Amino acid sequence: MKLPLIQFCFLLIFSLHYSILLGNGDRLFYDAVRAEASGDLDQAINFYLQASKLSHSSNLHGNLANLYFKKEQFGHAILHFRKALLLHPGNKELSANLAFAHEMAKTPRVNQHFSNTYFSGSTLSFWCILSAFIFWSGFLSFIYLIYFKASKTPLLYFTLVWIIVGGLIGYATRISFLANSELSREVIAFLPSIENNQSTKISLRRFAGETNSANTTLLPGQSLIIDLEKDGTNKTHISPDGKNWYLARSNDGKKKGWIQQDEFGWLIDPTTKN
Amino acid sequence: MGAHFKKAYLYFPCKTWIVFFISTCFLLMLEDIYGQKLRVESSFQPPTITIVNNSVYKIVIYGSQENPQGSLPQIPGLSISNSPQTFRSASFINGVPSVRLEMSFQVKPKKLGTLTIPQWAIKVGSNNLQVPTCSIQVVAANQQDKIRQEIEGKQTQDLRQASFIEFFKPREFLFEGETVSGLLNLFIWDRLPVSRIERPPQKDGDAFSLTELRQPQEKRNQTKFDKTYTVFSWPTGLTAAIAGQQTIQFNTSIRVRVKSRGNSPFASPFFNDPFFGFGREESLTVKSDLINIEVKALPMVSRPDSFQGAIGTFSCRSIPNSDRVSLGDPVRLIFEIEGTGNFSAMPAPILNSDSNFKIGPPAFSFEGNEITMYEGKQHFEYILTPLKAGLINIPAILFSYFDPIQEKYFTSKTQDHALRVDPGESWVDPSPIKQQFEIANSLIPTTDLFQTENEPGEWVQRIQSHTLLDSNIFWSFQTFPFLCACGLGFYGWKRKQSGRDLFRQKQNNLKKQMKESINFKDTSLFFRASRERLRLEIGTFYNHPNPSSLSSNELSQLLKNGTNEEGTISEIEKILSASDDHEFAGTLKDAQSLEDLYKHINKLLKKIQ
Repeated sequence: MKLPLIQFCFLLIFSLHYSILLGNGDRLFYDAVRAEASGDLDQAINFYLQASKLSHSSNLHGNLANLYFKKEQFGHAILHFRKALLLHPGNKELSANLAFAHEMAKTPRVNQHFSNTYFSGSTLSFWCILSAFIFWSGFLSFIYLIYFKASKTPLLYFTLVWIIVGGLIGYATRISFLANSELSREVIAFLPSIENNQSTKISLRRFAGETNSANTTLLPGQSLIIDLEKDGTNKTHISPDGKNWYLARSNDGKKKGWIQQDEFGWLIDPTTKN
Repeated sequence: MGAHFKKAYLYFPCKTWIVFFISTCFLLMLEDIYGQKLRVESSFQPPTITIVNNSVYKIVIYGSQENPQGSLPQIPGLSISNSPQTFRSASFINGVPSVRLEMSFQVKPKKLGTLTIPQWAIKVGSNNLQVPTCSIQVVAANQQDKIRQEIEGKQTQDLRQASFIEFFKPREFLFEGETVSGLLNLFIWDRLPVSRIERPPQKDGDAFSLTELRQPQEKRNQTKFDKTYTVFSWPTGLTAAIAGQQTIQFNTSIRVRVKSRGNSPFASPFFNDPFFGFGREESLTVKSDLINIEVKALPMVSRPDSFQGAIGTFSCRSIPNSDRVSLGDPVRLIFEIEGTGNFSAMPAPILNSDSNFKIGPPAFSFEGNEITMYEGKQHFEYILTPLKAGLINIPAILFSYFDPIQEKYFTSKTQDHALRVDPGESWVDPSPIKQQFEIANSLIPTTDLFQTENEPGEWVQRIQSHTLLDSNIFWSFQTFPFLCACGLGFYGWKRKQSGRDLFRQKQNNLKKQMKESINFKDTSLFFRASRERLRLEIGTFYNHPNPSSLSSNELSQLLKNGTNEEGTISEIEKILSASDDHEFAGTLKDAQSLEDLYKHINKLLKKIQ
């Protein structure tokens, strides 16, 4: 009798907490829309950022990206357009906005290759289900043919087909898994909001230090993948001045170097992964 | 002397003498004429008139036919015509030649009493002469005069109704600069033999401007004043130019046919000859009534800064011809004003260049009634050249106008237009043509870009949803097929194991029977057991579902289907044949031969493939 009561109380508290969070998000969102309508873009951005700390919505990140675009902060604009598209992948307006933002930032667009479309990180679940289905259905059939069918020829053919199909689907799952892994480590470079910041490019440094020479440079809005340690964690370094550095490389792998934490934004915030 | 004259007479011909005589007489006459004394007489004819009648002021100059020079004195109460009739005459009075010049001035009195023209000077040739004093007696009108005056008034009225101009005043007052649409109608009585209209109506008065009058519209059989008219209408736009109490009048000229001067329509157009004959043509001036219009000045209170003189009722909008251009490419912005008002006096709204655009002077065009320029659409086409790339706004245009009906100023503002300005092309990579094509296809208008969503939409806690690999449910779910596979495998194995046991049991039984039959020298049992064993092992080897039902031929066939040697097959066939023979023919074998046969059968069964 006690256990169901405890479970009920737990669910009630959880749902109340969740609804309060969402309610705050709504309020901040509407405040931001009002601030934008009154022309106070900075205040509107501030409200949207506060709301995005509570939870996420496609419209929130789309509006935020629009504001950054109007303020000609194309790096931030691209970051939030990407986030909005992750939440609503089929939105053509967001895609068009993102394309234009890339154009304005003079950064290359993410090419919509076959692999990026069908083996992207978002398709990982599909490939997992398909892999599981092919494996188990094949395995069950294999057992059946071994024990319940006297003829060996069907068993031979079936086994061949099963191995080939299973291999292909396993490979697709693997690609999708890697893409998903890269997406979770993908960041968008932007100029840090430091006053009198006259530079228009972001440096990827040879070593994790501010005074270090740049390996190469990036334009705001360019995408980077954070490298991994051998244990699978992100490759980071904390400099003596307390700044967090990440080793990152561009999508095509041509640019590599250390980048400061405030010079990029995570597409998927690693602190909210669980 | 006489001889000489005679001689001369004889010498000249007769005709020469006649010419000489006439010339001498003419010279003598000229001498007399120019020797005549110059004098001037003046008189009124008649010298006494009623106030409704006219008289003639006549001046007669004797001794000259030259036109005199001088100016008539102005007499209060007496209107004297400036265009006199002149009459020159020459005569012989008692053999003396005489010339004179008569000048007759029409005189119309304006008051009763004796009116005197004092002595005044004229110059005839090189002589100065004095025109003597002359008086006229003006008396009150009698009854007959009044009747005649009424008749003449009616005739004048009829003459006015023969052809006249009408202008419909649209409003009682106008504002300075306001344009109103009006209609000028020229009425021509059907019985008036008009050959043509010499010119379109013209206005008298500088307080208004009138748009150009083109071809009139003609309407026949229009009835007015109990008469049938042909009406020629000119639509026009009338613009008030000067504030104050103003008047305007319209006039035109028409050509009418007249039979003779006596039958001139000016004298009596209706009663002599209704068709006016087929004589010469005369010009007739037709006038409208004098129209009084008050023109008010525009109010200065609440006058917007952007007001440039537009008066009327308008709506406006701006239309760019493109919402996406490359840097440096011009954009045409059409500012369109629609409504009624003074389009002809409307200047273009001012659009100044800024850091975003370089703006050129606009081009004008008008859609609508171009004659009156009162109602329609006015287009101002600006050329805007973007100066920087990005999403920039084409500025809104302010347009102020004064509404003369509501007597208030209004200001309209067009909407902003977002213009997407692409950066200039530097280098085009020829390879990703397909991708560019896809981008071009997926383009949506710039006006639809960067719109703010007013609703937050669906909230989620994470941007990226969990993958199945992170899901415990997914991995837990894998246990079901795993258990199924395990179960199936175990069942299959058990099934297979149970079949083998039975086989081995039967095989052992048959071997045991064969061995016992060797010990007891029971050949029939031996061959029966041998045949059963061959059936069991061969049938089981080849997975026959019921080995005990196989005949000898079927066993041979099974062996042949396999990869057995011919010798093995024939040996087994022999044993089978021997078994059959023993069962049906009862042949005997000794124990030693049975022992050998048993071993041989074991060897053969091991060779089965």
